[in-house]
Amino acid sequence: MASRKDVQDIMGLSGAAPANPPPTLKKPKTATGKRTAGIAREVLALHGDRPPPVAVIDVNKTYKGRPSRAYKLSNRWRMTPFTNQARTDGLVLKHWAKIPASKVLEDSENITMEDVSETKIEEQPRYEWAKCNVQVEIPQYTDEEYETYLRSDDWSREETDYLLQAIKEYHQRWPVIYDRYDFKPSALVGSGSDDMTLVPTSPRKERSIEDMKARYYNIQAKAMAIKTPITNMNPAEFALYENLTKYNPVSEASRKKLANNLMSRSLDEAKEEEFLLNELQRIAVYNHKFETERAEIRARLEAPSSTGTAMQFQSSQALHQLFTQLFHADRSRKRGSRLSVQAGMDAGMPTPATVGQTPVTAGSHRDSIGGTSQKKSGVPGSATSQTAQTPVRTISPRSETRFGITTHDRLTSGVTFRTDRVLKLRQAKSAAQTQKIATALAELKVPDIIVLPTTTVCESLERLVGQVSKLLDVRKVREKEEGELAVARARAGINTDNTQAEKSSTEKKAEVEDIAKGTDAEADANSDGDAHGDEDDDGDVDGDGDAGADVDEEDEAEEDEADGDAEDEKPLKDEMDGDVARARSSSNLASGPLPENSAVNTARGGHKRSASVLSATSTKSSKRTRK
Amino acid sequence: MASLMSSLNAPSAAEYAGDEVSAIVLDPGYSTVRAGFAGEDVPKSVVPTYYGGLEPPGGATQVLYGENAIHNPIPHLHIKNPMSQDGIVEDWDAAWKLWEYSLTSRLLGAKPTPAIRNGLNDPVDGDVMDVDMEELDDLEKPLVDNPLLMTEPAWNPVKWREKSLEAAMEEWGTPGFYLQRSGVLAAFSAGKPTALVIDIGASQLSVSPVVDGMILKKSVRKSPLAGNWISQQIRLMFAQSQPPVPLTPHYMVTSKVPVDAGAPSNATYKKYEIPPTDSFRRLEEERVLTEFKESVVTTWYHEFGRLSTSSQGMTNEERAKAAPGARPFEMPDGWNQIFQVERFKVIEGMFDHEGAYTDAENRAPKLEHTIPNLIIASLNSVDVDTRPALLANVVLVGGSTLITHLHERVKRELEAAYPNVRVRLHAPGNPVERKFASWIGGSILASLGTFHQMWISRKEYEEHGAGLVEKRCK
Ligand SMILES: Nc1ncnc2c1ncn2[C@@H]1O[C@H](COP(=O)(O)OP(=O)(O)OP(=O)(O)O)[C@@H](O)[C@H]1O
Ligand SMILES: [Mg+2]
Repeated sequence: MASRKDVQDIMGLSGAAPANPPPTLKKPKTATGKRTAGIAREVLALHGDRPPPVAVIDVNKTYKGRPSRAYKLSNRWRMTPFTNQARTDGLVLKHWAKIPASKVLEDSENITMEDVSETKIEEQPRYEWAKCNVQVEIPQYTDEEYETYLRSDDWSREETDYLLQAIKEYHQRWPVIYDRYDFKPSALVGSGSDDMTLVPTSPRKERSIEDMKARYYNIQAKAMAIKTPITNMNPAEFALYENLTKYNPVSEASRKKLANNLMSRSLDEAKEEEFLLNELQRIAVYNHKFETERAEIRARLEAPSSTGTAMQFQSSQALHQLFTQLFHADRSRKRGSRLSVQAGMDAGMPTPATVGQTPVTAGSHRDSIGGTSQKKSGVPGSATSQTAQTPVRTISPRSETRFGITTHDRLTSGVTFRTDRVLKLRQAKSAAQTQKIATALAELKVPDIIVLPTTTVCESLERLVGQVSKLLDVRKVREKEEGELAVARARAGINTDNTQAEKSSTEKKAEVEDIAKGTDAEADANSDGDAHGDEDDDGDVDGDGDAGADVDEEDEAEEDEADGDAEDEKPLKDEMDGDVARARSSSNLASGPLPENSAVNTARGGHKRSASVLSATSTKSSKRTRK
Repeated sequence: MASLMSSLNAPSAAEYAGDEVSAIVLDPGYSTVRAGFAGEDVPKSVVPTYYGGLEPPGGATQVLYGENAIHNPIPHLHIKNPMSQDGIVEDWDAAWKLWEYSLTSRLLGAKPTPAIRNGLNDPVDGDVMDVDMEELDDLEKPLVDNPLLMTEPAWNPVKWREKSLEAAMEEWGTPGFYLQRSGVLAAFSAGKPTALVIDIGASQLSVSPVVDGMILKKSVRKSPLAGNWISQQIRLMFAQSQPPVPLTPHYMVTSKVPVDAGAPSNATYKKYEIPPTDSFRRLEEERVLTEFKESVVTTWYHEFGRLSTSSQGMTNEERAKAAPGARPFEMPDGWNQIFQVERFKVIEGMFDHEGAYTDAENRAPKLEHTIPNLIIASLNSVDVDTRPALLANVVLVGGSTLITHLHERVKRELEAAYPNVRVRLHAPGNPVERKFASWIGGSILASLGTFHQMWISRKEYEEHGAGLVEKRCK
């Protein structure tokens, strides 16, 4: 027997083995409390101090224990006769039964089998399985009760009795009752001639399960009611009563018919149904997604737009309103208060007096040297220039541009470079979008690095980029709508008027081309402006105006059409029109602030969705501008 | 650990509600009679239903029972079967004798001669003993100690049912008697109170819906497309092959020499002065055919549908020709051949009535006799609400279901017929459990403590007469 020590000896490790193993190593063994049994100590020792690689199962006994044999009289089994209380005829059968040892001892004076059987049956305990003999209770009624409550034109007394008997016999298993139900009126059978007078001779009827159930439940309910009046029933009884009275054989029959149809569907039908269900689910999911998207957009639409035109805020009244609106919106959103109350009080609420007192000078310009500039004047330059009643020094827009006077809604602190701004403009939210904008700009021959980013150039570029991104958005929406349309058309399949769809699609194509042209023109105009810098500012504006005017007329007509089409009448066409209107109006959008606004308004009237899309684009662009 | 189930310690009675009263279960069929003690798992006594009548001209006739007696090629041995092609008794007396043989030959030992008859106690006064004689007669009857549970097909006529009760009481002296439908018992053997039992035996193919241990009589459907019909199909196939396949039973061959596949056999045949009877030959041929069924016949259950259809530019018959697993078969005289499509075709008629072999005498089976149609017809007559339960518990039993892949095909046909319902087929893998399903079910039933209230006792029989069976065994 080689112990661990021996092995170590052999391996030449003797020196390494400490005379006393460190107490820490002993711990696991002592922790378990007992020596692992079932394994020879020596074998266990081979593991060293590490725990054995396999789990050693604790076995209490190494060897099978000695069979514990009770040296006492064993039970005897004896073929014992017995009777079954579930039977009425006292049939005696024999089975093997255990005779307790004591009894065996008693009986050891050898009594013959016959004697045992005679005596034992008497003292037999209740037969174990007799308790399983459970009978169904059926309502009982007297002749009188039957005549007064249970009479039915359809069911003779005899058949009713037969039915109840069958129910009892087959333990209320309706399929079996139905299968075995074979009522023959005694009059027809010819037996029981004295019954002839009592029982009306009714021809044999085919009874369905529903008929039988209806009759039985009816009888049971009435019998219940006779026994305990409805008012005295406890809840359980009443619930049962309710159920019984509610049984409707007609609806039950129709339910079975449906179930039958369901079962006899062919595989194709089943598959089709499954497919349709899947499709339905898909559509539902899609609709949900669509709705949430739209809801998001609408939520954005409801936020007061900070860009838009300043035209509507010409009066200080309007301005005040705008501010409170903004302020409330801000507060209700509970973001970090962008507009503090104090600020609002101080600067944001320009009363006519303050307006009068604060001359809008070049000092409001960020670049100006004037340190007294009001950072948050909130008064657009145009407003001041055109408010006749305010006795301030007015500067004509022309001279304003000449002197480089600009007004700002909000200014960030610190110094920024326009080059940065120009660069930032090219960055969209997503890389893909950035890429797209870059390609569009490249196409328009806008140089990557603008040498002289004057204010005008910056603005132009900003506008251009805004338009480009709007158009991109429009394109995205259009693609989506087209996809939807294709799906709708495919689904409509043969039903849809193909020609119409085709026509509208070609129409649409034409429109899109138009739009593309329009934007090109604009873009050209814009890029012109860019290229020429501040001097050629006028031309730029002109170009814009032209384009806007051009498209406007068409647009109006289109909108009319969109209005005329009832939304629910021809959803397909409507969608198309909506698309077109959207595309159109967005091309308008590109041409300037004024048409944009009108487009928004009119489109909103014509088609809600397009409106929301539009506003989305506009808010986006506005955000970008704000940045 | 000690309480683990083993064959040595019986499960406690409470565990299976068992209470064995040494009842005997008798399950007579067209091909075999199964008998044994209730509570055992296989019948101890399995006796062929075919019996021999030795009728030498001018000599005393003799009846021979049992496997050992009926296969001897002795002259004037006529092989008979007391059952009709419907699977019910035709010749009552012969059937009863045969069944008695199945009980007494193996199950019940010889009874000791009563002391009074053993010649040691010769009566001094005959008159006194007369009364006792009758009781003694009763004691000598084979089943005095054993209640008897008999099985019957669902279409067993009333006269045979009454006769069974009467004969069991009068002739066998049983203390208790019960008749149960074999369909119900087959369901019990699968442990199911509710099942759709498909039983393909020798004479009959039957579909019986069982609900809560009760058979739905009106919904039972049967057809003759069972073991005997398959044998007939094989015979037709043999006859229609080019060249015809010779069917030579074993008793005719003395020795044989191996020959090539399809080549004429080269064997020495036995010479009989008085050749055995035709019925004997037929019985022996049937044995060869059963061997053929066991080893060659295969059910076509391809996903592409029945054998007669075609799909994907290929008929299923072509597919069957290429199917793997073709088996050679050698006749007792050495003739041998590989059966490729034929092995599928002999059984195809059970599913597809147009796929059967026919000739002038043997018409194609009727459409409504095929398995799928039987099942559909049976289910359609059952209440809709019970159909799913039945389809989820389809039980396949009977000797002829042992044909390779038959259960797969049945499943496939059922799934095709009811694509929207879950179909679960229970076909015991153990051939014994399939062949003896109804016996096993009877063995379970008759050993249940709760069943003992069902027996028709001698007292009840004496009181009400044989008509009682209709009331009690429903
Ligand atoms: N392995 C097997 N493969 C194919 N068929 C078989 C096989 N074993 C037995 N058979 C066939 O099964 C039939 C016997 O089946 P079973 O014992 O279930 O019938 P049965 O109960 O006696 O007849 P029935 O139910 O018609 O009264 C015979 O026709 C026999 O040829
Ligand atoms: Mg059978």
